[in-house]
Amino acid sequence: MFFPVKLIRLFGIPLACLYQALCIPKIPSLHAALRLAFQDKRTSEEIKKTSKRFLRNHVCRAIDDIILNRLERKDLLENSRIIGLENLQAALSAKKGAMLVDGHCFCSRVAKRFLREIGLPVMSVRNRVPDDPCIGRIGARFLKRRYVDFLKPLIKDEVFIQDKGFNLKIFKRLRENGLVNIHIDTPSFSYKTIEYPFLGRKCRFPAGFLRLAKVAGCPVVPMACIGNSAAFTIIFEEPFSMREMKDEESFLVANLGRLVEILETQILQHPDQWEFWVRL
Amino acid sequence: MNSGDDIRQKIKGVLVDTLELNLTGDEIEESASLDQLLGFDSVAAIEFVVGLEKAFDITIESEFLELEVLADLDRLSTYIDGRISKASSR
Repeated sequence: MFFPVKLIRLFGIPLACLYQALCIPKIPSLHAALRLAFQDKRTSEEIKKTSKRFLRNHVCRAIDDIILNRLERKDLLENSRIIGLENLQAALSAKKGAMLVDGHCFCSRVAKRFLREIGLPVMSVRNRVPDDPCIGRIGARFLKRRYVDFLKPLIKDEVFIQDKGFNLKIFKRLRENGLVNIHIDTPSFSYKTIEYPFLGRKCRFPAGFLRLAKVAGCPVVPMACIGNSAAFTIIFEEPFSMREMKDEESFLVANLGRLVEILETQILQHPDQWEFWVRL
Repeated sequence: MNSGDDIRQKIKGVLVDTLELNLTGDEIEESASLDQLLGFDSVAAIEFVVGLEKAFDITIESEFLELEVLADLDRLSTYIDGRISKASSR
Protein backbone atom coordinates (compact mmCIF):
# COMPACT_ATOMS: atom_id res chain seq x y z
CA MET A 1 0.00 0.00 0.00
CA PHE A 2 1.35 3.43 -0.92
CA PHE A 3 1.11 6.53 1.21
CA PRO A 4 -0.11 9.58 -0.70
CA VAL A 5 2.72 11.73 -2.08
CA LYS A 6 1.61 14.69 0.04
CA LEU A 7 1.78 12.62 3.21
CA ILE A 8 5.27 11.36 2.35
CA ARG A 9 6.36 14.96 1.85
CA LEU A 10 4.97 15.79 5.28
CA PHE A 11 7.15 13.05 6.80
CA GLY A 12 10.06 15.11 5.57
CA ILE A 13 9.57 17.75 8.27
CA PRO A 14 10.27 15.56 11.32
CA LEU A 15 12.77 13.58 9.29
CA ALA A 16 14.75 16.74 8.49
CA CYS A 17 14.93 17.58 12.23
CA LEU A 18 16.10 14.07 13.02
CA TYR A 19 18.67 14.15 10.23
CA GLN A 20 20.02 17.49 11.43
CA ALA A 21 20.44 16.02 14.89
CA LEU A 22 22.23 12.97 13.47
CA CYS A 23 24.54 15.20 11.45
CA ILE A 24 25.73 17.27 14.42
CA PRO A 25 29.22 15.67 14.37
CA LYS A 26 29.63 16.62 10.69
CA ILE A 27 28.42 20.20 11.01
CA PRO A 28 31.82 21.75 11.93
CA SER A 29 33.41 20.36 8.73
CA LEU A 30 30.42 21.53 6.70
CA HIS A 31 30.75 25.04 8.16
CA ALA A 32 34.48 25.00 7.48
CA ALA A 33 33.92 24.03 3.82
CA LEU A 34 31.33 26.80 3.41
CA ARG A 35 33.56 29.41 5.09
CA LEU A 36 36.48 28.46 2.90
CA ALA A 37 34.37 28.68 -0.24
CA PHE A 38 32.91 32.07 0.63
CA GLN A 39 36.23 33.48 1.87
CA ASP A 40 34.60 35.33 4.79
CA LYS A 41 32.01 36.97 2.50
CA ARG A 42 29.24 35.39 4.58
CA THR A 43 28.64 35.87 8.27
CA SER A 44 28.58 32.94 10.70
CA GLU A 45 24.83 33.30 10.91
CA GLU A 46 24.47 33.02 7.12
CA ILE A 47 26.75 29.98 7.06
CA LYS A 48 24.61 28.34 9.75
CA LYS A 49 21.44 29.04 7.80
CA THR A 50 22.96 27.69 4.59
CA SER A 51 24.10 24.51 6.29
CA LYS A 52 20.63 24.00 7.80
CA ARG A 53 19.02 24.38 4.38
CA PHE A 54 21.66 22.04 2.93
CA LEU A 55 20.76 19.31 5.45
CA ARG A 56 17.06 19.85 4.88
CA ASN A 57 17.61 19.54 1.13
CA HIS A 58 19.36 16.22 1.73
CA VAL A 59 16.15 14.93 3.27
CA CYS A 60 13.99 16.49 0.51
CA ARG A 61 16.09 14.69 -2.06
CA ALA A 62 15.66 11.36 -0.27
CA ILE A 63 11.92 11.94 -0.21
CA ASP A 64 11.93 12.91 -3.87
CA ASP A 65 13.70 9.65 -4.68
CA ILE A 66 10.91 7.75 -2.97
CA ILE A 67 8.11 9.58 -4.76
CA LEU A 68 9.85 10.35 -8.07
CA ASN A 69 8.11 7.69 -10.14
CA ARG A 70 4.76 8.55 -8.60
CA LEU A 71 4.83 12.21 -9.51
CA GLU A 72 2.21 13.04 -12.07
CA ARG A 73 2.91 14.93 -15.22
CA LYS A 74 0.59 17.76 -14.27
CA ASP A 75 2.32 18.21 -10.89
CA LEU A 76 5.72 18.27 -12.54
CA LEU A 77 4.52 20.86 -15.03
CA GLU A 78 2.92 23.01 -12.34
CA ASN A 79 5.93 22.87 -10.01
CA SER A 80 8.57 23.60 -12.62
CA ARG A 81 10.20 26.60 -14.15
CA ILE A 82 12.78 26.61 -16.92
CA ILE A 83 15.17 29.48 -17.48
CA GLY A 84 17.08 29.56 -20.75
CA LEU A 85 15.15 26.91 -22.68
CA GLU A 86 16.04 28.90 -25.78
CA ASN A 87 19.71 28.16 -25.03
CA LEU A 88 19.02 24.44 -25.09
CA GLN A 89 16.94 24.76 -28.26
CA ALA A 90 19.73 26.74 -29.93
CA ALA A 91 22.20 24.02 -28.98
CA LEU A 92 19.95 21.27 -30.36
CA SER A 93 19.32 23.13 -33.60
CA ALA A 94 22.76 22.03 -34.80
CA LYS A 95 21.38 18.44 -34.76
CA LYS A 96 24.42 17.13 -32.95
CA GLY A 97 22.79 16.62 -29.59
CA ALA A 98 23.99 18.44 -26.50
CA MET A 99 26.01 17.62 -23.46
CA LEU A 100 24.44 19.04 -20.32
CA VAL A 101 27.09 19.62 -17.69
CA ASP A 102 26.38 20.36 -14.06
CA GLY A 103 27.43 19.45 -10.55
CA HIS A 104 25.63 17.10 -8.21
CA CYS A 105 22.52 19.15 -7.45
CA PHE A 106 19.91 17.68 -5.11
CA CYS A 107 17.23 18.32 -7.69
CA SER A 108 18.98 16.72 -10.64
CA ARG A 109 16.86 13.56 -10.82
CA VAL A 110 13.59 15.50 -10.51
CA ALA A 111 14.75 17.82 -13.29
CA LYS A 112 15.59 14.92 -15.57
CA ARG A 113 12.28 13.21 -14.82
CA PHE A 114 10.55 16.47 -15.80
CA LEU A 115 12.60 16.85 -18.98
CA ARG A 116 11.70 13.29 -19.95
CA GLU A 117 8.07 14.17 -19.36
CA ILE A 118 8.24 17.13 -21.77
CA GLY A 119 9.95 15.14 -24.51
CA LEU A 120 13.58 15.92 -23.72
CA PRO A 121 14.93 12.67 -22.30
CA VAL A 122 18.40 12.96 -20.83
CA MET A 123 20.89 10.11 -20.65
CA SER A 124 22.74 10.18 -17.32
CA VAL A 125 26.39 9.19 -17.18
CA ARG A 126 26.92 7.32 -13.93
CA ASN A 127 29.52 5.52 -11.89
CA ARG A 128 28.55 2.05 -10.70
CA VAL A 129 31.04 2.29 -7.82
CA PRO A 130 30.89 5.93 -6.75
CA ASP A 131 33.53 7.32 -4.40
CA ASP A 132 31.92 8.53 -1.25
CA PRO A 133 34.24 8.94 1.72
CA CYS A 134 31.25 9.77 3.93
CA ILE A 135 29.64 6.40 3.54
CA GLY A 136 32.35 4.52 5.49
CA ARG A 137 33.74 1.05 4.89
CA ILE A 138 30.64 -0.86 5.93
CA GLY A 139 28.41 1.42 3.88
CA ALA A 140 30.68 1.05 0.88
CA ARG A 141 30.53 -2.71 1.17
CA PHE A 142 26.82 -3.20 1.76
CA LEU A 143 24.96 -0.07 0.76
CA LYS A 144 26.68 1.43 -2.29
CA ARG A 145 25.62 -1.23 -4.76
CA ARG A 146 22.08 -1.33 -3.37
CA TYR A 147 21.81 2.43 -3.65
CA VAL A 148 22.96 2.35 -7.28
CA ASP A 149 20.39 -0.40 -7.97
CA PHE A 150 17.70 1.55 -6.13
CA LEU A 151 18.32 4.54 -8.39
CA LYS A 152 18.18 2.53 -11.63
CA PRO A 153 14.39 2.51 -12.05
CA LEU A 154 14.30 6.18 -11.10
CA ILE A 155 16.89 7.32 -13.58
CA LYS A 156 15.98 4.75 -16.27
CA ASP A 157 18.03 6.38 -19.01
CA GLU A 158 21.64 5.84 -17.99
CA VAL A 159 25.05 4.63 -19.01
CA PHE A 160 27.73 3.49 -16.59
CA ILE A 161 31.34 4.42 -17.07
CA GLN A 162 32.21 0.80 -16.28
CA ASP A 163 30.19 -0.42 -19.29
CA LYS A 164 32.23 -1.54 -22.24
CA GLY A 165 31.92 1.03 -24.97
CA PHE A 166 30.08 3.56 -22.83
CA ASN A 167 31.55 6.40 -24.89
CA LEU A 168 30.01 4.90 -28.01
CA LYS A 169 26.62 4.84 -26.30
CA ILE A 170 27.00 8.52 -25.46
CA PHE A 171 28.08 9.26 -29.01
CA LYS A 172 25.10 7.36 -30.36
CA ARG A 173 22.71 9.40 -28.24
CA LEU A 174 24.31 12.65 -29.37
CA ARG A 175 24.05 11.52 -32.98
CA GLU A 176 20.33 11.11 -32.52
CA ASN A 177 20.25 14.76 -31.42
CA GLY A 178 19.77 13.59 -27.85
CA LEU A 179 20.84 14.95 -24.49
CA VAL A 180 23.54 13.55 -22.25
CA ASN A 181 24.14 14.75 -18.70
CA ILE A 182 27.56 14.66 -17.05
CA HIS A 183 28.28 15.76 -13.51
CA ILE A 184 31.65 17.39 -13.80
CA ASP A 185 32.36 17.39 -10.06
CA THR A 186 33.23 13.68 -10.15
CA PRO A 187 36.88 13.06 -11.07
CA SER A 188 36.31 9.30 -11.37
CA PHE A 189 34.34 9.93 -14.59
CA SER A 190 37.52 10.12 -16.60
CA TYR A 191 40.97 8.56 -16.81
CA LYS A 192 42.22 12.10 -17.34
CA THR A 193 41.69 14.67 -14.62
CA ILE A 194 42.92 18.23 -14.18
CA GLU A 195 43.33 20.14 -10.95
CA TYR A 196 41.81 23.61 -10.48
CA PRO A 197 41.21 25.93 -7.56
CA PHE A 198 37.61 25.32 -6.55
CA LEU A 199 35.62 26.67 -3.63
CA GLY A 200 38.79 27.70 -1.80
CA ARG A 201 40.63 24.41 -2.34
CA LYS A 202 42.17 22.44 -5.12
CA CYS A 203 40.04 19.74 -6.68
CA ARG A 204 40.40 17.44 -9.66
CA PHE A 205 37.88 17.40 -12.50
CA PRO A 206 37.32 14.91 -15.32
CA ALA A 207 38.42 16.01 -18.78
CA GLY A 208 37.41 13.09 -21.01
CA PHE A 209 33.91 14.40 -21.76
CA LEU A 210 35.36 17.54 -23.37
CA ARG A 211 37.41 15.44 -25.76
CA LEU A 212 34.29 13.49 -26.56
CA ALA A 213 32.29 16.67 -27.16
CA LYS A 214 35.01 17.98 -29.45
CA VAL A 215 35.20 14.80 -31.53
CA ALA A 216 31.40 14.49 -31.69
CA GLY A 217 31.14 18.21 -32.51
CA CYS A 218 28.30 18.63 -30.00
CA PRO A 219 27.59 21.75 -27.97
CA VAL A 220 28.17 21.77 -24.22
CA VAL A 221 25.44 23.46 -22.19
CA PRO A 222 26.03 24.25 -18.50
CA MET A 223 22.91 23.46 -16.49
CA ALA A 224 21.76 23.98 -12.91
CA CYS A 225 18.80 22.44 -11.09
CA ILE A 226 17.44 24.17 -8.02
CA GLY A 227 14.72 23.17 -5.55
CA ASN A 228 12.86 19.92 -5.07
CA SER A 229 9.87 18.18 -6.58
CA ALA A 230 7.48 20.61 -4.86
CA ALA A 231 9.00 23.59 -6.72
CA PHE A 232 12.04 23.51 -8.93
CA THR A 233 13.89 25.55 -11.52
CA ILE A 234 16.11 24.29 -14.31
CA ILE A 235 18.60 26.78 -15.71
CA PHE A 236 20.23 26.26 -19.10
CA GLU A 237 23.14 28.59 -19.65
CA GLU A 238 24.26 29.68 -23.09
CA PRO A 239 26.01 26.93 -25.06
CA PHE A 240 29.63 26.94 -24.05
CA SER A 241 31.91 28.07 -26.84
CA MET A 242 35.06 26.03 -26.77
CA ARG A 243 38.35 27.80 -27.30
CA GLU A 244 40.56 26.22 -29.89
CA MET A 245 44.11 25.76 -28.63
CA LYS A 246 47.37 24.69 -30.17
CA ASP A 247 47.35 21.20 -28.63
CA GLU A 248 44.95 18.93 -26.88
CA GLU A 249 46.37 19.39 -23.39
CA SER A 250 45.99 23.17 -23.50
CA PHE A 251 42.53 22.75 -25.05
CA LEU A 252 41.40 20.63 -22.11
CA VAL A 253 43.05 22.80 -19.45
CA ALA A 254 41.60 26.05 -20.81
CA ASN A 255 38.08 24.88 -21.54
CA LEU A 256 37.57 22.68 -18.52
CA GLY A 257 38.86 25.53 -16.35
CA ARG A 258 36.14 27.82 -17.69
CA LEU A 259 33.46 25.20 -17.07
CA VAL A 260 34.73 24.72 -13.52
CA GLU A 261 34.41 28.49 -12.99
CA ILE A 262 30.80 28.38 -14.20
CA LEU A 263 30.07 25.50 -11.84
CA GLU A 264 31.70 27.33 -8.94
CA THR A 265 29.61 30.43 -9.61
CA GLN A 266 26.41 28.35 -9.70
CA ILE A 267 27.31 26.65 -6.41
CA LEU A 268 28.11 29.94 -4.69
CA GLN A 269 24.78 31.36 -5.87
CA HIS A 270 22.85 28.33 -4.58
CA PRO A 271 25.14 26.74 -1.98
CA ASP A 272 22.40 24.75 -0.28
CA GLN A 273 21.64 22.91 -3.55
CA TRP A 274 25.01 21.24 -4.07
CA GLU A 275 25.34 17.88 -2.41
CA PHE A 276 29.12 17.50 -2.26
CA TRP A 277 30.01 20.00 0.46
CA VAL A 278 30.66 17.26 2.94
CA ARG A 279 32.90 15.42 0.49
CA LEU A 280 35.30 18.30 -0.06
CA MET B 1 34.91 1.10 -56.70
CA ASN B 2 36.81 -0.02 -53.61
CA SER B 3 37.61 -3.71 -53.44
CA GLY B 4 37.28 -5.56 -50.14
CA ASP B 5 41.06 -5.51 -49.67
CA ASP B 6 41.31 -1.79 -50.38
CA ILE B 7 38.64 -1.12 -47.80
CA ARG B 8 40.43 -3.24 -45.21
CA GLN B 9 43.69 -1.43 -45.88
CA LYS B 10 41.99 1.93 -45.61
CA ILE B 11 40.31 0.95 -42.32
CA LYS B 12 43.70 -0.06 -40.95
CA GLY B 13 45.13 3.25 -42.14
CA VAL B 14 42.41 5.15 -40.27
CA LEU B 15 43.16 3.08 -37.19
CA VAL B 16 46.87 3.87 -37.39
CA ASP B 17 46.12 7.59 -37.80
CA THR B 18 43.53 7.65 -35.02
CA LEU B 19 45.78 5.97 -32.51
CA GLU B 20 48.93 7.58 -33.87
CA LEU B 21 50.42 4.09 -33.92
CA ASN B 22 54.01 3.68 -34.86
CA LEU B 23 52.99 1.08 -37.45
CA THR B 24 51.76 0.90 -41.00
CA GLY B 25 48.36 -0.52 -41.92
CA ASP B 26 50.14 -3.61 -43.32
CA GLU B 27 51.67 -4.33 -39.96
CA ILE B 28 48.29 -4.71 -38.30
CA GLU B 29 47.47 -8.38 -38.41
CA GLU B 30 44.27 -9.49 -40.08
CA SER B 31 43.33 -11.39 -36.96
CA ALA B 32 44.02 -8.42 -34.67
CA SER B 33 41.13 -7.45 -32.47
CA LEU B 34 40.46 -3.79 -33.07
CA ASP B 35 38.79 -3.75 -29.68
CA GLN B 36 42.13 -4.36 -27.96
CA LEU B 37 43.99 -1.94 -30.20
CA LEU B 38 41.54 0.90 -29.74
CA GLY B 39 40.58 0.38 -26.16
CA PHE B 40 36.92 0.96 -26.80
CA ASP B 41 36.33 2.62 -23.48
CA SER B 42 38.31 5.56 -24.71
CA VAL B 43 37.34 8.44 -26.96
CA ALA B 44 39.64 6.86 -29.57
CA ALA B 45 36.72 4.63 -30.61
CA ILE B 46 34.72 7.71 -31.52
CA GLU B 47 37.69 9.28 -33.28
CA PHE B 48 37.93 6.02 -35.24
CA VAL B 49 34.27 6.26 -36.29
CA VAL B 50 34.64 9.91 -37.31
CA GLY B 51 37.87 9.05 -39.17
CA LEU B 52 36.15 6.22 -41.07
CA GLU B 53 33.29 8.49 -42.07
CA LYS B 54 35.70 11.07 -43.43
CA ALA B 55 37.91 8.55 -45.20
CA PHE B 56 35.02 6.77 -46.94
CA ASP B 57 32.69 9.75 -47.17
CA ILE B 58 29.86 7.85 -45.54
CA THR B 59 27.78 8.12 -42.38
CA ILE B 60 27.85 5.14 -40.09
CA GLU B 61 24.29 4.54 -39.00
CA SER B 62 23.44 4.58 -35.31
CA GLU B 63 22.52 0.92 -35.18
CA PHE B 64 26.01 0.03 -36.38
CA LEU B 65 27.74 2.08 -33.72
CA GLU B 66 28.26 -1.07 -31.73
CA LEU B 67 31.42 -2.53 -30.32
CA GLU B 68 30.82 -5.86 -32.03
CA VAL B 69 30.70 -4.21 -35.45
CA LEU B 70 33.53 -1.77 -34.96
CA ALA B 71 35.87 -4.29 -33.40
CA ASP B 72 35.43 -6.86 -36.16
CA LEU B 73 37.43 -6.01 -39.28
CA ASP B 74 35.41 -8.39 -41.47
CA ARG B 75 32.03 -7.04 -40.43
CA LEU B 76 33.23 -3.49 -40.57
CA SER B 77 34.65 -3.78 -44.09
CA THR B 78 31.50 -5.57 -45.31
CA TYR B 79 29.35 -2.84 -43.78
CA ILE B 80 31.44 -0.04 -45.28
CA ASP B 81 31.44 -1.79 -48.66
CA GLY B 82 27.64 -1.89 -48.49
CA ARG B 83 27.41 1.79 -47.58
CA ILE B 84 29.73 2.78 -50.43
CA SER B 85 27.74 0.70 -52.94
CA LYS B 86 24.50 2.22 -51.69
CA ALA B 87 25.89 5.74 -52.02
CA SER B 88 27.26 5.14 -55.54
CA SER B 89 24.03 3.52 -56.79
CA ARG B 90 22.07 6.72 -55.97
